[in-house]
Amino acid sequence: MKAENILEVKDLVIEYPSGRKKFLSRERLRAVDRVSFNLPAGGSLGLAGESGSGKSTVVKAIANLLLFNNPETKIRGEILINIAGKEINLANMSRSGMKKYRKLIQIIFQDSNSSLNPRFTAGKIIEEPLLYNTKLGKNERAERVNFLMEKTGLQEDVFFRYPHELSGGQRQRVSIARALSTNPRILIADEPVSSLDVSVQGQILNLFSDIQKEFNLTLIMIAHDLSIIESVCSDVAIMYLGKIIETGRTNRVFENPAHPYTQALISSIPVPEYKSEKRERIILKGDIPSIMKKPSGCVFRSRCPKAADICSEKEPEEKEITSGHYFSCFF
Amino acid sequence: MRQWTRGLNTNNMKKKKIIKTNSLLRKRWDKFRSMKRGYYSLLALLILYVISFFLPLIIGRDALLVRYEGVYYFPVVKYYDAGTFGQKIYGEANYRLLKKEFAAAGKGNFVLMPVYPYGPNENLLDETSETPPHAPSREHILGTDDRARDVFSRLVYGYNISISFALTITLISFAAGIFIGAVLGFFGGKFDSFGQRVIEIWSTLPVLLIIMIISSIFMPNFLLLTLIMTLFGWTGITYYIRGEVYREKGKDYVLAALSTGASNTKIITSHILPNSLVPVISFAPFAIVANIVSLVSLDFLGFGLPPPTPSWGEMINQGMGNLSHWWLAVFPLGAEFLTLLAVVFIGEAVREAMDPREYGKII
Amino acid sequence: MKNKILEIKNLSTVFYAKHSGQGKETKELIPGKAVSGVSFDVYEDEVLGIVGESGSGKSVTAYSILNLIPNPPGKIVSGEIIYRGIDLLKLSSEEIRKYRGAEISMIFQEPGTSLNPVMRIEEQMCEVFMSHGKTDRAEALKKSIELLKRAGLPDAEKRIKEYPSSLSGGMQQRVMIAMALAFRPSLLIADEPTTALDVTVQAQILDLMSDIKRENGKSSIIMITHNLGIIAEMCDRVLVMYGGKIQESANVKDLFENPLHPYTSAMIKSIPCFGKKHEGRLNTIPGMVPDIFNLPPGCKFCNRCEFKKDICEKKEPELKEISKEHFVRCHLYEG
Repeated sequence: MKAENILEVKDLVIEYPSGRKKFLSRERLRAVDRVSFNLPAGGSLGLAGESGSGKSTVVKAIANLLLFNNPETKIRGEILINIAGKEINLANMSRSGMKKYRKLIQIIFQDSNSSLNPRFTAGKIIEEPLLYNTKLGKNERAERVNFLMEKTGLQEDVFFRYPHELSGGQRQRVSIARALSTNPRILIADEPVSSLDVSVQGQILNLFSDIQKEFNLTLIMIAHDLSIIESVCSDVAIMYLGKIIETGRTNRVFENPAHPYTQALISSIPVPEYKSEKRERIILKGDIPSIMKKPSGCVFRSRCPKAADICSEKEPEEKEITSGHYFSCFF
Repeated sequence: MRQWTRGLNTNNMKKKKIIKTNSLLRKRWDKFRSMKRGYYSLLALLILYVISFFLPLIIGRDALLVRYEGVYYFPVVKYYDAGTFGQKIYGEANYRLLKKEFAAAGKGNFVLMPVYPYGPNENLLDETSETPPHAPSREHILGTDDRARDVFSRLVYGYNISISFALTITLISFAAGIFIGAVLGFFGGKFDSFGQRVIEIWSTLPVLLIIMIISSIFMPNFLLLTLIMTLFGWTGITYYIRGEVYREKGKDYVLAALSTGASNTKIITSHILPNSLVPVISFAPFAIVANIVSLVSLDFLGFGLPPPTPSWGEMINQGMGNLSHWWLAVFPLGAEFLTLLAVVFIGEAVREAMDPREYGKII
Repeated sequence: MKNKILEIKNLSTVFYAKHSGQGKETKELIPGKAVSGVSFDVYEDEVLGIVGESGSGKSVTAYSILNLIPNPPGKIVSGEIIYRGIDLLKLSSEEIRKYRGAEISMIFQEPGTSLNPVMRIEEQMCEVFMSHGKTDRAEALKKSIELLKRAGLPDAEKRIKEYPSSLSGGMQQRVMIAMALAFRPSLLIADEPTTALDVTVQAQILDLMSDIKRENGKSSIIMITHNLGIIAEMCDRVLVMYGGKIQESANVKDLFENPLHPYTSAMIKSIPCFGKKHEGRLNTIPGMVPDIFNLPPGCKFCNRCEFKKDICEKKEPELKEISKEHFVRCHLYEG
């Protein structure tokens, strides 16, 4: 593990048991297939891809939340974090073993409505992690909560309000304040703004940039909207059916997308600018296949405009075009 | 470390402005209160139930206070032999007679009786001439039964027993059901499958039959009946709570709690359970109804509480046997009907108050 | 001059609810002005975009056109909706049914919840034909398959026998579009038709809608969305709604190149636009979308506006034509 990296994911494979039973054993579905990436401390990685691409599964595995609801999930590969020079593998870490490291990795969910306990006031929600991770007294905790609320741009009176009395933007701020309260090193945000109004999204994205600097965080952000990743993240990884098909510095990948899928994704984004001539777009055929019916060879070949015979025969190797910019395609 | 001292102390904040806020519970309570029928039914049943614990002070055969030759006695809390007051009968003193005797003697001795001076198990044959049952009269407002016991008194004491029985069973079996259901739902997997099968087998045992068998071997009493009913009453709740816990467990706020380092116990008790109890709470009044009815049925069939316990089922049974004496059937049935109706009203209001749609968004 | 096919005059729709926003809850039901005094026209052969955030009244306007507002809690309190000379709001529920689906049809945000989950696609589509026309079942089935093919559903003959749940979101939306097009409506109202879909599928659906419009000739589309990108790609003319009112209306070129209302220009600046370099932070609009139960008396945007003047709080500005077909509701352009 390189010293400057805080997180290294190596050949991560995640399999769920499927509903279908084979003789004596269950069929397994591979939701994430040999995913690897490195993240330097203070960096920010955007994970993009359509629904079913496995991006949420990857981040839940990093935060060690998969086994809680699906105890039969199999995780292989390594999720290494670097804590004070020590290397720790979080993949398959036990519940009790994980306890020490939970506070280092915090996650913010997409739906601010369901990610806050409806019976707790905002103040209590932000305070709760302090009870588990610090030995602060009551007044110190209140001070800390107020500090966090100030940092996340929450008014004082939000302290006593319940989630259903807050707007979507305020709820997402409460989620962020809660995540910050444990002093994490890595902050994961799973589609943090997609449920918010357009005029509020910008505020929350700016808040992410601010806290990332101020709290010296490493950020992993999932977004299906590439323009959000472009504006917040320094690195990007594009996923399709459980694989990373292209990754690199955000500006390099978005300026010179190498993989046909990335090209199609970029071309599909509606651009809020007037053009007298309608631009030519790459429109993919069909839907993302179900994970149960993954195409052989290259996973993207069933929708790829460039698909050739070789694509169904074997899987493309990862190729580097410029330094740090990798993609997996024969062409 | 970072400077944590900025910001305000919450105590000051509380003082500075009074911030009105509505917890979900508070909102539901307000909604419940706005459902007048249910709210007043709850008030009525509760007040009556509380009063029913102090019944001997209002309805009963024992005097509240006796002054006899300068000494004060409190027969309502203590047993006095008839001889203590110079009565020439066996056993406990008859305070109604004593009152008449004292009044006739006029020596400054007096007896203070409860407002309605007849006990539920007291045989009034000595004081009446005709054969029982007696029709309602000024003295016995709902008449007497075939053993010359006061129907009103029995009815009122029976209320306490009915409600206590139903409440105890509901509370204990809900507590057990919630605990077991929550554990099954939370841990899931093979443990859950195994637990569910055990519960299914357990719940197929015929409860009434078992009670009848046990009642014919042992003398049933309040405790034994409660125990048996609880033993078989908890299974239904586990299904509800298990499903709810399972559903809540998948929600993001639980994962958020997990990721901030909450323990299993903490996740169950302060996150999942409070949010899973809604269907169970809406269900509770109807469980109470069912339990009231089951005690009445058991008593009616004669497998319930032993005589002479004042129970509604036993009274209804007597009414069946004495159909020509209408008051024996009408009053207990009426009382049961009103009680059940009130509980159903409460249930209806609770269900309405718990209805999540109220807080949904329109368009 | 193009022909008007739909004319909306002074439409106001309210929703009654116990207000439970910030702080205390009211005892009585109070009206929330979801749409107030909205007037606009739809011309033949155009795509009209209505853009706005939650609570802006864009969807309520669309539902009001076909009188689909659930009552209670909602109610259309005033206005006229004149479709080819007939006020749709004056029609009985029996009469308006002839228009719904046939003359004006609608597609919704969640294709999954708009289809009946326990009926095969086949039955649902044939029902559409049989309810409006005098077609028999075989004829209806043939037409349905034809429509599904036009809507780009692969294996239409096979898919039509399936239940909605076995189709993906994109395919479900294609089915919805096929059903909406069954009678070649002159007006198609699309309420956030691609919000629930992935970007690549969104591109397919938008492409399909453009194709169909081209083929159908003189039909019009009202496209309701919060996504300015979709507006830029699809629409000819745009209404910007905020706080239940039209704040700006212009053709798409003027709107993006010369936005007049502070809200419009702030929106255009604040959304991260792909391919444009951002210098550090994004521009943002402070504050949040107003609650329809608690709208400011003056300009609805004044609390968040950087050009706010004293008058903005007190008096609501009028919608005023600044240049040809470019209307704006703002005090900056008054007097």
